[in-house]
Amino acid sequence: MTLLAALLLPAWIGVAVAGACGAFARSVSASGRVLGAIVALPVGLGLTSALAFAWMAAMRQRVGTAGEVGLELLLAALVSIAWWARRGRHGGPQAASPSTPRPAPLLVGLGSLALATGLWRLFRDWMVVTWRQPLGGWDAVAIWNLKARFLASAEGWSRAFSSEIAWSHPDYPLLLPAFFARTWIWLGDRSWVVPAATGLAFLLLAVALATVSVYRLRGPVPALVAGVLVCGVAHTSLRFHQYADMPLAFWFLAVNVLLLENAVRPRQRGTLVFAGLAAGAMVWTKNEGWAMLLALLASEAITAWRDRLPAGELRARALAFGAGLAPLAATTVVFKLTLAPTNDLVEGVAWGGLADAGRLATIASRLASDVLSFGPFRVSLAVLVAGLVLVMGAAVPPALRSAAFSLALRLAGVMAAYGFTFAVTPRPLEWHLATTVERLLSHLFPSAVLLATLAMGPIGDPALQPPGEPPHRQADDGGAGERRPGAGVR
Amino acid sequence: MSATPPGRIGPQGASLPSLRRLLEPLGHRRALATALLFMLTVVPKPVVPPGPGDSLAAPRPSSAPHFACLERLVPVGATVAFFTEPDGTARLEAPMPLYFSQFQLAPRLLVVRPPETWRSGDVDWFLGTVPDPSQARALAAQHGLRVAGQCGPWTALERLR
Repeated sequence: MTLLAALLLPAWIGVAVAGACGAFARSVSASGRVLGAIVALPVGLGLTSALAFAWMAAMRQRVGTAGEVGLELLLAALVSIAWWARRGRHGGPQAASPSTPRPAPLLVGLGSLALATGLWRLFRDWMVVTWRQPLGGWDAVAIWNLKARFLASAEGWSRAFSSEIAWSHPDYPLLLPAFFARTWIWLGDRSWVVPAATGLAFLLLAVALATVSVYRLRGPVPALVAGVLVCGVAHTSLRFHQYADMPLAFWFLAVNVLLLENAVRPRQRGTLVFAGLAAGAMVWTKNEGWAMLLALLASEAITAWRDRLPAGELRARALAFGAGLAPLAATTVVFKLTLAPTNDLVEGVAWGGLADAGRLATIASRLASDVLSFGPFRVSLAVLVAGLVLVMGAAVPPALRSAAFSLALRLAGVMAAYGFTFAVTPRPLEWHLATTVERLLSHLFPSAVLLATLAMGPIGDPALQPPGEPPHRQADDGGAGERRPGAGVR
Repeated sequence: MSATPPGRIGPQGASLPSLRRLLEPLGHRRALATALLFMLTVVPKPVVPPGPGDSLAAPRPSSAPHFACLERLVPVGATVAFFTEPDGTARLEAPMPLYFSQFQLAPRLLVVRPPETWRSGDVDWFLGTVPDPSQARALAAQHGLRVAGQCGPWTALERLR
């Protein structure tokens, strides 16, 4: 019962936040609501984690566990009121159902079979790996779940940041550890089930998010392609299970999905607030989240400049995104400034690596080799994606071209940031590459799959699908949405 | 006049039997590629190579009884020096035993201190795996400690007050 309450409250907070952002407005289609719910659940987890951390750091001694529960109930009440207020303001007539192209039954059948097989294989192998390592893999024990064990203790929580255990990376952000600790405190038991189940939830939600998003933007067959391929990424991540890498991959995918949604319905500022929340969760999950955030801001700035976005529109978009970003990004900054020691890579940065051609070649070669061998299939996931784009051709719908361009830019930006980090790492390069590249690629592959399936040319009879147009008439804004100026056909 | 739409391999009949209609999409290059992709993803790699963590002894809660015993013995707020050898040093072939012990004993802080600092250092608790209890007693006597308890292979030493 306590476990149910401990999970239901974050879920409710996430759903209410999504509702306040307009994800469940009457004008939103069923698939739009499902998409909102998929992102809502982890957002609730992230907000609860930040609240729990604030309570641990500032209030635990004074108010006890009841205080933490009270804070969560207060947050739940506030976001529920915000949702209720929004429903009152925007309750309009039901939007017309989107028109959908006639999908080829054979392809839908094959795709559904492939997705079902992938999900079954993912769940089966997750069970096996969890049976073998219920406490998680190496970094789960040495970093993420260890921090949670410290944070769960009223007496010794701040020891998680001791330089005496520098090997546990005390500066790493705390979205997962703080959530696990908070749930353990509620349960009164440090059960391995909490991190294990959370890890599985992020894997399944990443697959669901990619599938539903591409379904909305490009129709059922590309959606199944996306689902099957992201399922492959999730399966590969079982090699580092209970790490924070797939949650980070989920957040990056969520930000990209929400920005694409906003490209189709630019007047819905709530989507940008929601995207900001997911971006905040990126930096509260892993340090790599900062590279993603910087790449995101740079790519959006370049795209806005390229599209000659009016200053007023740019300001409004930045404000909405910033409002969502603020809570979790601010929590991360406060943590970094008050408790976290300096990051080991930053402390020992070796700038000379940037001028070492041999080192750069080693990095490029290793990245390329790992990209080409990534995935659980006989054919590498990168080859499948590249083959898909080559055969299908690129036919991004006009309304999505700017957002897709921006997504491509930030994928390249994050990859460049990772390459830069390897160039200046003070650690032995071969060891650093061997222990991290696969995990880093798992951050990017779900979003790369999103981009590839978005760009796919039409499948089947072109007569069913007008070239250059998304298969769904985007009616979620009830006709209020407008395309961003300059985002049309160029 | 008829034109073959882009992406279509061959001409299509006006009325098709149901099987032909079902397979019709495969007449398109793009649909064929998609079908091929779906089929390729159903076939997994023959053997998944071991990941970075797989070569390690898998951390399992099977050693929990020893750690439950240690948790009763060592105060929650203690900083504990970790050793593996009869002379009080810590020699680790791989760091996982230290990581896993720290994981189990958190929020106690598990640190490594040279034995020569034990007598006058900041640490009051010492925890190690030495094969013979008599070696633990000798170590305790040498550094002004007492044997606080034995939990499976673990010996806990405490500073005399």
